[in-house]
Amino acid sequence: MKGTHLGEFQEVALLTILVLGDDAYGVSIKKEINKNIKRSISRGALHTALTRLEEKGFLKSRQGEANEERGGRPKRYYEVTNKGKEALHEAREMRDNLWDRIPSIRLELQYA
Amino acid sequence: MECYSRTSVSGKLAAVIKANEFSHPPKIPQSFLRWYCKPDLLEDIEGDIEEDYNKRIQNKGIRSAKFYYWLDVIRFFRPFAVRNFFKTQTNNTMFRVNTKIAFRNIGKDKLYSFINITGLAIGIAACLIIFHYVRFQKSFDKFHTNAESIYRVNTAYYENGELSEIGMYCGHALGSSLGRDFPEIKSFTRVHPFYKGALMTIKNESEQPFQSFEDNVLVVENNFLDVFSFKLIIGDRSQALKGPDNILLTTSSAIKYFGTADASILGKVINLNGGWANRDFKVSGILEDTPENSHLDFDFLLPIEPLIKEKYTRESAGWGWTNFFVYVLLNENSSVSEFQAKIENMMHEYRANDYGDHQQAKLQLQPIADIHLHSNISDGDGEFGKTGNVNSIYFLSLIAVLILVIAWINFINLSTAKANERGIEVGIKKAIGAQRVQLIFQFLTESFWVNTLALLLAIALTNLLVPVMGRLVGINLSADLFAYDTLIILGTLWSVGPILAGAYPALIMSSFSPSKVLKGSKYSGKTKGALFLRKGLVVFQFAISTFLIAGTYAVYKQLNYMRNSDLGMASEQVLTIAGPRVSISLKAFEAFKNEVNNISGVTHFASSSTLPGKGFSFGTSARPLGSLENTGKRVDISWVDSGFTETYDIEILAGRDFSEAIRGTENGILVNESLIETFNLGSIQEAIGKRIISNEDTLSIRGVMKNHNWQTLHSSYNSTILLYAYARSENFSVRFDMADIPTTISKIQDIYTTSFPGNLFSYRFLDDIFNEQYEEDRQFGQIFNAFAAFAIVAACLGLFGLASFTISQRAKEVGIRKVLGASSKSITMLFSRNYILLILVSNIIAVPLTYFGVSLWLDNYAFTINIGPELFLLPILLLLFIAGTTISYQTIKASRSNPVDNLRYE
Repeated sequence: MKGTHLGEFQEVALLTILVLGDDAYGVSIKKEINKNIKRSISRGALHTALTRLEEKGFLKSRQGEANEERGGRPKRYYEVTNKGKEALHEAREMRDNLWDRIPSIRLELQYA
Repeated sequence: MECYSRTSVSGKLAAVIKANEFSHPPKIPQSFLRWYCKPDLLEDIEGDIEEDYNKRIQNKGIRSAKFYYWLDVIRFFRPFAVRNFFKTQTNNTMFRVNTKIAFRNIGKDKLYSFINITGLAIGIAACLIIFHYVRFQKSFDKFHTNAESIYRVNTAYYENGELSEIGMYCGHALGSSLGRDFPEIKSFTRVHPFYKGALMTIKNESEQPFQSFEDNVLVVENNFLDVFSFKLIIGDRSQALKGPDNILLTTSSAIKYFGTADASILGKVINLNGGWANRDFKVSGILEDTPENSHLDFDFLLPIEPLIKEKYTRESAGWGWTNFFVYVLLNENSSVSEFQAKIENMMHEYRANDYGDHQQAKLQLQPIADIHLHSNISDGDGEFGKTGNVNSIYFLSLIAVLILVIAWINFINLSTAKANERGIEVGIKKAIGAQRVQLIFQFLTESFWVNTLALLLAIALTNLLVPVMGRLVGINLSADLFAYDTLIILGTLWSVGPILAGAYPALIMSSFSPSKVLKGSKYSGKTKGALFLRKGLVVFQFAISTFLIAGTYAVYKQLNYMRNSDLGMASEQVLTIAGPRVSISLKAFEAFKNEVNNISGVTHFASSSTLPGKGFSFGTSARPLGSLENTGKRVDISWVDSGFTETYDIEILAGRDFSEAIRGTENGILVNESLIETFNLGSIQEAIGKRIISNEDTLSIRGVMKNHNWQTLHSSYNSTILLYAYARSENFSVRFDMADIPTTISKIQDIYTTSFPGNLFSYRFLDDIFNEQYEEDRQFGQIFNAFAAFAIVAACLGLFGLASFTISQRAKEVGIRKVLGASSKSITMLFSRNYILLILVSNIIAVPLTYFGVSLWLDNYAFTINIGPELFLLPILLLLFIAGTTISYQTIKASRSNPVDNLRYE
């Protein structure tokens, strides 16, 4: 499984990129994640994840247009590859599978 | 070229202006990011961070945005983002392995590594700190864009072909004549210091007028700002000095008078009252405060035009009023020496009548960058502004090098001392096939990392201590580690240091023969060469330490001597008061004098043109009546009133003082013993009534004063003439008995403010005036002191290491001695003796060196301490004590060791 395994944070990153669609680049991804999972992630953590995902072939990136706001530097847009999408499906299936096998009674919150 | 700016008011203004557009992010984190980040990541990341940065500017302001920019860059410093620094074409596996071994060794013996790294760091830091100071001293006036083409025109005066003095003052016509006659000159600019300062007043419609007294006012040519690159923050550079009523302020004076330094004060009126002017000026611009490394220091600039047009109107004024400095800006392609030869005799062309046959005046060009350190001005009060001493710069640089050498020697000593412990490692490595070169590289790598750590620590120390050093010498100094010359020094230390310090230990340790070390015999370091080298190094270290301690002691003694020596006059309980500078009247003076004399406790009152400790009013040439005209010698002259000699308790040896002088008639002069000697006037009794000719006046000697130190002890007794004045407005002196001093001063102040309204009361005690002039010597002493301490600490660290080495060598010997009945005491003595001997040898070297150095330094002073044996004994004893304490830990440990521990392996 090593190599295709998706970490929790990596999964969040992939899903976020899919949510953002055409506008997924460093700043917007970070903002979206911060907004949705209510956890402040650092730029370093995000890019560590993005680099790993790209190495695994789950992501591909292309350079976008230059922007004055960025001191004339281009954005790098990310896109989820088919392999990435498969991995997402797989992860979800695995999880669903586990969920399905848990009797609902055990899922209820108890006073432990 | 950098400026050492005094305030950052302009910085804030700039920030506000910038915030409106897309701002450039802070430079330091940006270059840090560019340095570490992987090239393929860099562009996106830099863009991302900058985008956030610009958003934050709009939402939260520039300060917070900058802060977060720093934070973002630092937080991104992660392994995955950092590029591989060691990735080169060549194989660096061994370097990595050696690095690992090096750090393990550093971590293994923490005390040893601590001593080693700290010792080196102290040496490097001392070196860097001194470097910063030297660089500051050398940076004077180099911040002007044209610095290399600006010269000041000085005049050198010769009497009978001999140089008598060099002056910087000249008439204003010299500037215009030079500018008119010589195409080599691109432009000239004249500067006139506003003597004695002026009272500045601003009139507000509502509030009380604000008044203050200003000393630092310069009257300058209207092209002053074209020639010099002082920064004009607000105002039009080309027009700022063009109107006759314009005045320029520095930022801090603007804040002092108007509470703000922005464009709103342009056109406001300042009244200036003092000297030749009592008129209103309009603020036409604000300058940045003069950099600390500028020889021209001012708070206000006025245009020179009205002064020349309205005041100096007499025909002879252009040459006769020598109150100006002339600076010339030469064309780039003109040769300075040729030009100087051309103008050299210009004074004689224009002013032939001013000079006798035996006199000569030659114009000289002095590059402005030389003014601070190489000032040769010898007339009047000397250089305008504070000067530096180039010798002390050289001297400090020498100390910096010496301390660095001590630190490296330590490293060598400590590393060889550790050689034993590495013996087995070397033996095994060699046995399994390591080549000597590889081992040498291993030890050099270790040396490299220890040096690198030391360098980092040194940089931190430098950052911390440079401002302290700055405070010590009274300048605003901060470490600038990114300046290109600092980087060069750091780079050299980083690359050369490890090799210089690491080569010898590496050679020694890699030379061990595997069969011997593995059999258990220890490296004894007892080959003649090694022993001699190590001892030589210790001797050298301690010679330097003795030299520095003795030097510190000599400086301390000389300062003490100067402060406490008898000046030949009363210096305590004499209060000096600055005389009134505006609306002076004789009536007010007389009233003031009477009332002050009536205060109980006040015993004497005097007025004079200048004060002891502040130089003479002027120096000129004089000769006895009847002698040849070319036999004139220099005398110094001041005016005093009838109470002066009594106030200062100057002893009259013959004749009488001015106490019964008659106003307005020939009163004669008071001279000192030194003048009688200079002019060969016979005994002091014979001298009374003899006549002296000076400036075509004939003056008869009325009384002879005992020699006294009118100036600081740097200069010897000058030939002095005191002229009589009924009253002088410049300085008042009051002597009182043991009365309640604060009350007396406040009484005097009350009388002063009622007698001379509009003037500020300022007073100082005479001994303070003298002590302030020893300030520079005191600073020198402190610097010396600090670095002597550096050197001693470094030397002792080395000694400690060496002692621990030798004693570990001789552990078995100690064991056997103890078994045979040696006492702890005798063993301690046995080891200490060696080191005491080494220190004594180093003193034999240090004593002549110190004697030479100290006498060289004492040449700066006319009155000095004697160099006696105690000057050397004390430092030697001190050093012996320090060294003894240092090694005592080791020797006592050895002497108390249990012989069983040392001998059980035999």
